[in-house]
Amino acid sequence: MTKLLKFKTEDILYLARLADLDIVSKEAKKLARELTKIVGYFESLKKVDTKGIGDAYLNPSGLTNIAREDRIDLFSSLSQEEAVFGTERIKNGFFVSEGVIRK
Amino acid sequence: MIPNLPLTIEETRKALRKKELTVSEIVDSYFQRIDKENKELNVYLTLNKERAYKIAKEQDRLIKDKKDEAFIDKPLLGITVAHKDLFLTKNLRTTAGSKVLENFYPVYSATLVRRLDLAGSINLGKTNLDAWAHGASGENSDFGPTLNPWNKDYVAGGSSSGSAAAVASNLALFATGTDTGGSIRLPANFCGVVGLKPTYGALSRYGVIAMASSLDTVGFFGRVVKDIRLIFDLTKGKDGKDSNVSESFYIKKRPRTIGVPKEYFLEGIEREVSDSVLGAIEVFKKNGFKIKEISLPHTKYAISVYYIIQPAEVSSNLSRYDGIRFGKGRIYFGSEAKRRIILGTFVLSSGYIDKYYIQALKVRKKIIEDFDKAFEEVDLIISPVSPTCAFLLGERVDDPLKMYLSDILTVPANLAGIPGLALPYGFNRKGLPLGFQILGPRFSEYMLFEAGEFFQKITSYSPSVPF
Repeated sequence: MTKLLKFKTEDILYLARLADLDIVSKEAKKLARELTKIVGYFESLKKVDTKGIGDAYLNPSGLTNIAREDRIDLFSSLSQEEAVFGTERIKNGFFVSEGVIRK
Repeated sequence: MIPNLPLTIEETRKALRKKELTVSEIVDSYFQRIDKENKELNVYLTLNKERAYKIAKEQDRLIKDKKDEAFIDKPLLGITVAHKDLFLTKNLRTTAGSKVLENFYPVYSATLVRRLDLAGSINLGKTNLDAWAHGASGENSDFGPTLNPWNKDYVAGGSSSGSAAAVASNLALFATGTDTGGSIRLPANFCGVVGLKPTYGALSRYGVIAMASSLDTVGFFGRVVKDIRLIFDLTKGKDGKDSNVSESFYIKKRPRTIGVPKEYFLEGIEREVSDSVLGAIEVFKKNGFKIKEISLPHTKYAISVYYIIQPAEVSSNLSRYDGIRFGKGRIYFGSEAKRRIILGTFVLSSGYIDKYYIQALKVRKKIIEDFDKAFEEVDLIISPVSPTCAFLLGERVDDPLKMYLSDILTVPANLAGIPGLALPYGFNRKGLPLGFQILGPRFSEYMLFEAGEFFQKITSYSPSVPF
């Protein structure tokens, strides 16, 4: 039997960084405990014989390669004003984001 | 205030046609009920009062001018609806039950909202839910839980908690919801109303905040199957904005054989729950349906598969909330959203993706095969919706795995993309609703309606409201 995965606080903090989440270490400790239990529950999946299944990916609708006609739908398009309606941080009609490049 | 509001679309239409009621009176009565009950039940997060009154006035004028003809263009005239707060509503606050979107006013409406508006339904407001639709009880809402109208110590079920409770307590005639792993059928079951989770690809999800895109479906709550059928007919089909929607050929034969999956009646199911389902099976059997035991052998893996695939997709879908274009920053995510983002990030991470995510996708195919095989033998499947009735508020909040297991009988349908209809059937000793679900193959909605309408007719079902 393989050893069950045990999450450490550092593992959670690392995943949080990947997901751009602010998580304090007390929270991470609790999450480590919970994830150990949840992921432990997933172990039974190993037992399922899936050898015959080739491509794992699927779309439950059974459809493939759906594309729409390449035309502008004026009715559904947003004006620039509408597009920036949700934020207060606007400059010259554009969104203001955090700096990406630091000197 | 009207003492006895009509409880179905047909009753409402009759009363409007006979001039026993006006749309304005109906809308006013609903808001009076809401003002009285909402503070405690916590069903609505945002009300649409001003516009609803305005539309009511316009509809009264329309009915006066065009008489019966008015109902041809707008079959839902005077019919009130509550939208789960995951559906975008133009200029009406949409929160997803999360503080992240506490200040979000959409600039367009979801396709379903637009189609219902056009059909004449009157949007009363936006209903409470587990934040981002993550939950089975309604307790993960950042705005407090919705209480079960039948007993306020109990949960309403989730994630479409407010929508189910709104219909159960008649704070709306019908409601919209979303079902990614049971979020319509479970609260419908806990609140004693009818809930439809359609086939994946039957209704457009455009303008509905995405949770797990390969599983998400949008659907409805109502009191009688007949209403659900009408609403489904008015909203189904392509809009050119959700590429998964197809105008598929619906199966329209009369269902005759119903399968009972032995894996759905295992230990852990409350006696009163299984008795109610067995009672329903007996009703079908006595009335000419053939009942057959079937096997869905991979059911026991469904929760694992679901809680790998769903958080994986959640972690991706929730990555767009950065607080730059709309809403507040990621710091406002609640604990369940964070748990799922972390779990999803983990199962997709290098070194673990094959063991968890890819294996889960493969087992999902096994679950689909189970259903395909079963539907070669039977037209429909009947089962409990949840192993238990509504549980006490707070009972499962400290144990996420236990909460996840509440979905054990609903997630297989989402993994397979098949439709399900939850029906109420009786109450337990504590006065909490009981019921069952019927599942069918893809695009078998009309078979579900047929069986559901038959059941409600033969059992002389008449909807009741707790107060």
